[in-house]
Amino acid sequence: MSVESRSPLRGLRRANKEPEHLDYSEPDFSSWAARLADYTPVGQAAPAVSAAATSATTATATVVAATPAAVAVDDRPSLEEVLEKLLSFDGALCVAVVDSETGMILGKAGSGIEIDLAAAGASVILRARLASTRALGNDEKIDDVLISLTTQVQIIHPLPSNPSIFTYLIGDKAKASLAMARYKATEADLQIQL
Amino acid sequence: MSNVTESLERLVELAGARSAALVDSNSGMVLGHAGSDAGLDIAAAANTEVVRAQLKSIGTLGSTDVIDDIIITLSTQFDIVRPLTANPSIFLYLAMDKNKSNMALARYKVSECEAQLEL
Repeated sequence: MSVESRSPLRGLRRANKEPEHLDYSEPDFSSWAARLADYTPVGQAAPAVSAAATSATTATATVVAATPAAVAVDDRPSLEEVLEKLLSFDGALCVAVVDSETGMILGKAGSGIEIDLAAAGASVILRARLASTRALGNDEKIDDVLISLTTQVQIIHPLPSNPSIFTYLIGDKAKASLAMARYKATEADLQIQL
Repeated sequence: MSNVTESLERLVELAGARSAALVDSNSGMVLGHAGSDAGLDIAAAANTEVVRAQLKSIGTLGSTDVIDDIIITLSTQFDIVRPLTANPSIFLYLAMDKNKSNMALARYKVSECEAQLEL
């Protein structure tokens, strides 16, 4: 505690309450002053703490005041966090964000599958369908492709902001709910930032 | 005794159904169809590509899985593609209006139709 915060307290102490058994025989009160310096009355301890708390609050307020400028950037979690969150559906095996133009994986989470190969396969599927939709002459965009295999369910979900990039979810067919996985994929759209 | 036409007719009776077809993914040719959809041939060819790609992907992965079904959701329509258990290179294709139909029911009906289908 600094000198400037101690000096007003010292004045208060003299006014309210004095230490017991003071030795008035000492003419210069030097030992009294020394004892006063070490003495912290119970009632006086609180203001010091609250002062610290106030300064902490002020610090928080400064942080809060500084946050709004950063919200636009920090609001959305990183790709890894989104993928981990995506992986939280029941029976999830693997999730990935894939660029369908190249078949390469931008980010992945989970295990148990050769995700690189599977993603390349899924890219071919999406590209085939996109190409044929264009051939049909209509500009309908693909919301998602749900694939049920014997032991797996897969979801290919192109991002609305960039249809050539898709989220790819693979789940265990026995455990996973296709509808829930599909919902999770839709939900993640808003959070994925590339 | 083939019941392809009757089966497909039953499928397009579903609420929101646009068209149904039986397609050979080896050639992309339509073996049978029901309902009115101008782009049915092209849609069948498109889904042929999808089925082929998926089969190839499974082959690459060395998996023993077979495709149960593939559902493709578009902005106003969804397509259900279901390869036949007996002959996976032939698939049933059903196009549904997204806003008027029930995907789960349609999926069930297609699987039922597939089970009963005789070529």
